[in-house]
Amino acid sequence: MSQPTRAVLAAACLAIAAVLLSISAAEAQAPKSGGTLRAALRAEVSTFDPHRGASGSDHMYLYPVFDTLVRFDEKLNPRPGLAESWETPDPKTLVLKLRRGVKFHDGTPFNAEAVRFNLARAQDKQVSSMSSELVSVQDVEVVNEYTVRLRLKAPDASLILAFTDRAGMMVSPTAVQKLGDQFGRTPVGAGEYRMARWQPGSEVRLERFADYYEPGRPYLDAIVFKIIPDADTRVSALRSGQVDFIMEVPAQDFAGLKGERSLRALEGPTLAYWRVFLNTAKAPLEKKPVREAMNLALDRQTLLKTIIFGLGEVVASPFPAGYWANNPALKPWPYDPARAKAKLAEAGLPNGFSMDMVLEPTPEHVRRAEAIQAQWGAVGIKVDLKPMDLAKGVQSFFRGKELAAANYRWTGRPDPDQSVRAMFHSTGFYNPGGLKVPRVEELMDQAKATYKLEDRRRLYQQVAEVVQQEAMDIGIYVASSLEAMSVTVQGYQQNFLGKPVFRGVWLQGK
Amino acid sequence: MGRFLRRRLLAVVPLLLLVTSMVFSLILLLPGDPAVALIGMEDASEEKLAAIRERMGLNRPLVVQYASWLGRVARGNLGASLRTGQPVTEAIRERAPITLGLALAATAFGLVVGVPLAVLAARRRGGLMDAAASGLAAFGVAVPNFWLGSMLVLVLALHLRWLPATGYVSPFDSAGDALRHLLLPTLTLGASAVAEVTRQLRSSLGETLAADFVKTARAKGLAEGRVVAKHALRPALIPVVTVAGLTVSRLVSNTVVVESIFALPGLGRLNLESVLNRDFPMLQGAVLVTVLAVIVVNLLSDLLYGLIDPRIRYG
Amino acid sequence: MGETRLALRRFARRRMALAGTLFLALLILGALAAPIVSPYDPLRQDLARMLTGPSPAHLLGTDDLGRDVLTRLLYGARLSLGAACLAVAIATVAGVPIGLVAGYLGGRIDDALMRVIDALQAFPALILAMAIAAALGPGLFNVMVAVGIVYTPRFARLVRGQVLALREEPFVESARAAGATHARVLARHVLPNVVAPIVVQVSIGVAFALLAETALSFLGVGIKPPEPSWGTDVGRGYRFMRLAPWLVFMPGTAILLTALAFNLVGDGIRDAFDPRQSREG
Repeated sequence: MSQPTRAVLAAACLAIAAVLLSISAAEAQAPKSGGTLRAALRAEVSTFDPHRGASGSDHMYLYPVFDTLVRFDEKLNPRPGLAESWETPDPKTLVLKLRRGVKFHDGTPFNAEAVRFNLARAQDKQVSSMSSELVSVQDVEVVNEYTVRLRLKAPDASLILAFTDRAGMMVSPTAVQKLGDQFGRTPVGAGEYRMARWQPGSEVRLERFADYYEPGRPYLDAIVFKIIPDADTRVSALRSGQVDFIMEVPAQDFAGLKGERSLRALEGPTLAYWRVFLNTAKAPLEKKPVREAMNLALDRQTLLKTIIFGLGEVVASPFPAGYWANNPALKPWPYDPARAKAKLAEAGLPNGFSMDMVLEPTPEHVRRAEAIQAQWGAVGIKVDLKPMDLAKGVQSFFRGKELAAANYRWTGRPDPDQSVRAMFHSTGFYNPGGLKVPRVEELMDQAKATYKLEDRRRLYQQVAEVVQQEAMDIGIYVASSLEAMSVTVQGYQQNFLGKPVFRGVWLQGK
Repeated sequence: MGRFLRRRLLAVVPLLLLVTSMVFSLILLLPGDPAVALIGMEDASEEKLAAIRERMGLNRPLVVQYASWLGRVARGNLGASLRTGQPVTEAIRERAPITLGLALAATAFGLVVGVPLAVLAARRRGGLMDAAASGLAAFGVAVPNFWLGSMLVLVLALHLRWLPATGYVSPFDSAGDALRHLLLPTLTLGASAVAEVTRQLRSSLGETLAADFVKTARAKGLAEGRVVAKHALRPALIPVVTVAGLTVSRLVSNTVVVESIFALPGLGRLNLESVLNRDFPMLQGAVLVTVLAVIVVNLLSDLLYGLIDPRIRYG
Repeated sequence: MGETRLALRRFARRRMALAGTLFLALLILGALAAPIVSPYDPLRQDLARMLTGPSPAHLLGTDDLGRDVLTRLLYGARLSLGAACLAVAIATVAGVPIGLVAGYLGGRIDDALMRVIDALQAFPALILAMAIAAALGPGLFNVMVAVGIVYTPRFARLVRGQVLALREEPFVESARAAGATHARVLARHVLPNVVAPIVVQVSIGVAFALLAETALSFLGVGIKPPEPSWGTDVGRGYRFMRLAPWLVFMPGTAILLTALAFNLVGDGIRDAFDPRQSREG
C-alpha cells in the first residue's frame, strides 16, 4: 500500500470512512493474482464434508472449497451465489434459478440434478448432521437443467439464509458416490479453491481451482491454514511473519497490533453474543423479578470496557447495531443496583440467593465470569463458579440440566430465526429450563412464515421487545470480530458471523 | 541378558492392558461425549446429537465399545478418529516423531550442558563454580515452562528475529529449517533437563568423591581429574542414567505446554485435544504409543545400569 | 539426639541453606499473616484501576481486574505451597516404600511393582491430571492428588536404582549374613543410605508441583475461581504479557524464588545429615 493511503487509513476512525476508503483503495489498485496466503486458525477442521460435519470451526475451511447456493454479504444479507436468483411464487414454493457453466473440481457439471442430490443428502439422517435445517422441505423438483423447485411443508423464510451455510454448500455428486466415507478427507466442491493437502494437527493447503467459473478468480495460488490453538502463539506467528493473517485476536493485544506499521488490525461487529444462559427450572430463576434484578445489577459498560477493552457493543437484544433484524429503538438494561435489590425483595429474596455458573476454564473466560460474579455479589446474588471444559459444560448444563447458569457465547447463526428459536423457544436446546412465553413463540413462528424482509424485521423487533419485558435474556455484550493481517493482504472483508471468508482476497507483491 | 529382555517385553502386554483400561475408565468418568464436544455451542439439538452419536457408534454401551476396540487392536487396527475419521495409526505416525525428537533433543541438551557443569561443581564443593552451577540448576528447575518459552519467543524471535517464533517444519522438507524451528522448544524443555542432570550428578559425585575407594585412589597419588573420570564418575552415573531416562519419558508425556506455545503438532497436543474432544479411539491410541515409548526408554536405562556398573545383575 | 544436634549445627553453618530457610519462614509467616500485613482483600475488584503498574498504593501493581497483586501473592502462597507440599507428601509416602521393596527383594515382586510404576509414569501426567480434574470437578486438592500420583514413580525408581547398587554392598550383605530380618536391614542399613537422594528429590518435587500447578492452569485446570493461587495468577498474567508484564513476572518470580529456596534447604539438609560426609567432617 502506498504511503499516503496508509496514512489515511491510520487516520480513519469511523467505520464509514473505512468503507469508503477501501472502495477508493480498490479503485486505486487492481487485484493482483498469485501468491500464497498463510492464515492461522484456532481449531482444526473436523471434516470437509459439509453435510456430515457439525463443528462451528469448520466454516473457514469449507467456504473456499464449497460454493454455496446463496452467499451472504458482510452484514448477512443474502446475495446470489450458485443460485443467481430465487422467488417464492407462493409461500410454500421456492424456485431457484441456477448459474450456468459451473463445474465441480472433478469436472462434474453443476446443475439442477446436482442440487437435488445435495439437498437429498443434506436431509438424509444417515449422512447429515443438519437435516433439521431443511425439515420444511417436502421435495425438490428438477424443472429444467438450471431450475429447481422446492415444495415446502410450511412457509420457511429462514431457508434462504440457511443456504448460505452448510445446507447450501454443494458437493460433487460423482465424487460422493465414488469416495463414500472418504469424501470428508478428500472433498470435491465447486468453490474457488480445492483441497490439496491436509496434515492433521498442523496445516491444510488449498490450491486455486483453475476452472472456476468467474474469469480471473480466484486471485491467490493457494491458501495455507495453519492450526495454532493458543491465541498468544497466533499473535507471535503474525508478528514474526510466519503467517499473514490471524483471527480471534485477543482483545488486550489488539491495540498493540494496530500500532504496528507492517500490520493491519480490523474490528467489526458480529453476532457473537456473550450472555448468561439460565436454567429457569431452577429456583428462583423462574421468577421474573429475579431475572430483572440480575439484569439491573450488571454494569455492562464497565464490563465491556474492562473485559474486552471496549471492542464490542452493549446491546438490548442478541443483535448488534447495523444488523437487519436489530431493534434500534430498544434500550439496553440500565445499571441500577438499588432497583436490583428492590426487585429481589419483591421476589421474596431480600437477602439474595446463591447459584452456580458454568464457564470455560481458560483465563479470559474466568476473568469475565469473576467480574460478573463480583457485580452480582454486590446485590446479594452469590455465584459459585464452575469451570468445565466445553464438552462437560454443555453436557451438564444444557443436556443434564444440573446447574443454574452458564456464561457462554452464542455464536450467531445466518438467519435470526435460528438464534431466537434456539434461545427463546420453550423447546430450544439453549433454553434448558424450557422458559415459555407464548407471545414470543407466536411472533417467531409468524416471522418464519414471512418472506418480506421489512415485515420480518418488524416481527423480530417485537420478539426483542417481549424478550426484554419478560427478562428472558441476560446479555453481557456483543464482541467485535478482531482480525489482524499483514499489510500485503488486500481485499479482505469482515462479516457479521465473525468467520473469515477469503473470497476476493489477494496479496500485494512485497 | 536375553532372558531379562524377553521377560521385560512380555511384561509389556499386561502393562498396556492396564493403561488402556485406565484411559477407558477416565472416559467413563468424563461427562459429555464426542458428539457434544463436536457441536459445542454451535446450534445443537437433541436430534442432531442423536444423529451424530449414531454415526460415531456411540449408541452402543461403553463396555462393548471398549471390547470391540481391544479386539481390533489385537488385529493391529487402532481405529479411526471419531471427529475427523483419520486413522489413528496415521495420526500417530505423523505426530510421534515430533514429540520423541523434541524429548530426545532436550535430554541431550541436558546431558551436554549438565554433566560438565556437575563435574566442575563437584570438584570443589562450595566453590564459585559450585555456586554458579547450583544456581543455574535451581533456575532450570524453578522456571515455569511456558514462561521461559514465551520469554524466549519474545526476545529471540520477535525482537532479535534470529529464530522462528512458532511452527513445525518436517526435516524431510528442509533439514536446516526443521532445526531452526526445533531450537527454541528444545531450549525451553531442556532447561529443566539441565537442572535435573546437574543436581543429581553433583550430588552423587559428591558422595562417591567422599567414598573410601576414591580416597584410596587419591592417596595413591592419582591426579584429581583422573580420580573423577576413572573412579568417581562411573558409579555416580547410575542416578544420572535414571534421571536421563526419567527425563526422556517425562518429556515424551509432558510436551503439551511447549507444543501449544510453539504450535507443534506432536503427541502432547494430540492427547490434549483427544481429551477435550472425547475422541476415544484417538486418545487410546495416543496414550498407548506414549506409554510404549516410555517403556522402551526405561528398558534402555535399565540395560545401561549393567553397562556402567557390572556389579548389577539382571535378577 | 546428639547426632541431630550435630546435623543442625552443620546446617546452620551453610549460609545459602539458611537464606533459603529464612525466605521460606518469611513467606509462610507472610501467608499466615496476610490479613494483617495487607490492607486489601485479595478478591476485591477495582475495575477502574486494573492493570496499573507498581505504585505506593499497590506495591506490585494491580491485576486484570484491579486487584492488589501483592495481596493475591500472599494469599496465593497459602494455596500454592500447601498444595505443592501435599502432592510431594503423597508421592514420597507412596513412592519410597515401593522403591525400597522392589529394589531390595528383586525378582517377581520387583517386576510386578515396577510395571505398575511404569504404567503410572508412562501415563501422560498433565493429561491424567486434566482428566481427573475434569471428572472430579475443579479444585486444587483434586489436582494435587493427581500430581502426587504422577510424581510417585520418580521416588520409586530413584530409590530402587540406589537400592539395587546398595544391596550388593559388603555392609548390607554382612548384615543379612548375620541373620538380620529384611525389615531390619531395610530400615537400619539401606534406608539411611538413600536419604540423601530422596531429600534432593523432595526439594525438586516441591518445585515440580508448583510448576505442575502453573502448567495445569495454563491448560485450564486449577483452582476454583476467584481464589488466588500462584499458578492461576501467572497463567492469567501470561495473557497480558505485552500490556502488563509485571502480572506474569511477580507470581513467576514467587514460584522461582520459592522453588530455589526449597532446593537450597534441601541441599543443606542433605549435607548436614549425609552419614558419609559426616564421617569425613
